[in-house]
Amino acid sequence: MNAAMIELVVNGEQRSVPATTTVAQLIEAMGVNAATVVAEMSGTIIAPEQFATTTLAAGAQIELVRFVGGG
Amino acid sequence: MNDNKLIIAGRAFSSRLLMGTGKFASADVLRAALAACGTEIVTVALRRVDVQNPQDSLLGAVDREKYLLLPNTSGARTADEAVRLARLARAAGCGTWVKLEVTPEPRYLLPDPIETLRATEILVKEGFTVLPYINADPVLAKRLEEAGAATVMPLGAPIGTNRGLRTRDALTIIIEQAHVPVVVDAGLGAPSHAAEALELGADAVLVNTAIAVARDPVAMARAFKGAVEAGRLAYEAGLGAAGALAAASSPLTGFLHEEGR
Repeated sequence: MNAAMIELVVNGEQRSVPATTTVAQLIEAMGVNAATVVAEMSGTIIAPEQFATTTLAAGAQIELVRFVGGG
Repeated sequence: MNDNKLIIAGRAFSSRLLMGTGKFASADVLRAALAACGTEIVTVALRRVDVQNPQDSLLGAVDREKYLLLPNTSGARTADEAVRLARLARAAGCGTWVKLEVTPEPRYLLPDPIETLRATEILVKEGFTVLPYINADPVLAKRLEEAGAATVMPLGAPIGTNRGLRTRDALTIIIEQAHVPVVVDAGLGAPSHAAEALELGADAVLVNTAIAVARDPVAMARAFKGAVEAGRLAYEAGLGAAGALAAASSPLTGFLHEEGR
């Protein structure tokens, strides 16, 4: 039986993921190191401690950000 | 007493050179330049993870045990965008210090004074330690100080222009009137510019481009370290006044060509 898929936007790009995906699972599926990232879901900040317990919402705008060089 | 250390928000620092981490060719060069310049406070930016290149991360080059990470809100065009970035940085475990940078216009990247003041008021209320980047506007500097900014960071010249202290006269007014540390930030293109800022009485400088784009960034980092130390020493030693007329350094009597003696 296929999991229901939901549509959302990650860093400005459309994506389809299974409905029960957590933030942690999304990050892992994208090949990103969770230790270096902070997330925002539809304007609400998701702190690293909450990645594993926060499920992605259908239609959500997800931002995954990390530190880069800057002045 | 803190031996003439730089004190920001109650923390003492030996180095008066803050360093930015942008534009470096590699993590190795960045790491070496950070070590060479002796800095203790290092700025970083926040950007989207690159989905094509997800492992690309700067964090490895910046040892968070050694350096205080100062996230900037670069990219913010409004107070709301800056506040959002600051909150994200804090959620990332970066502490509560933030370099507030609100630059709506990309040609000159000048900071918006009104949005910067608005963002400072919001962020101070939320418990952030705010270091706002501003044009060299003495009135704005006082307003930010009154709003609870931990420092003011007036520019010498627009970001990345390497033009030095174009705002020199206004900087001297800010330095005279400030009750918080003054960190000259942006436009410093040569170690002599940094020395000049410290000689004027600035408490510290922030340098990024001039080190990153030098032919030998590590050597340039070392040069800036020396310049900042020299400038501060000179300031503390008490610079002589400048004058329009010559004032001889050697005696005015006993010349070999004198007659009738």
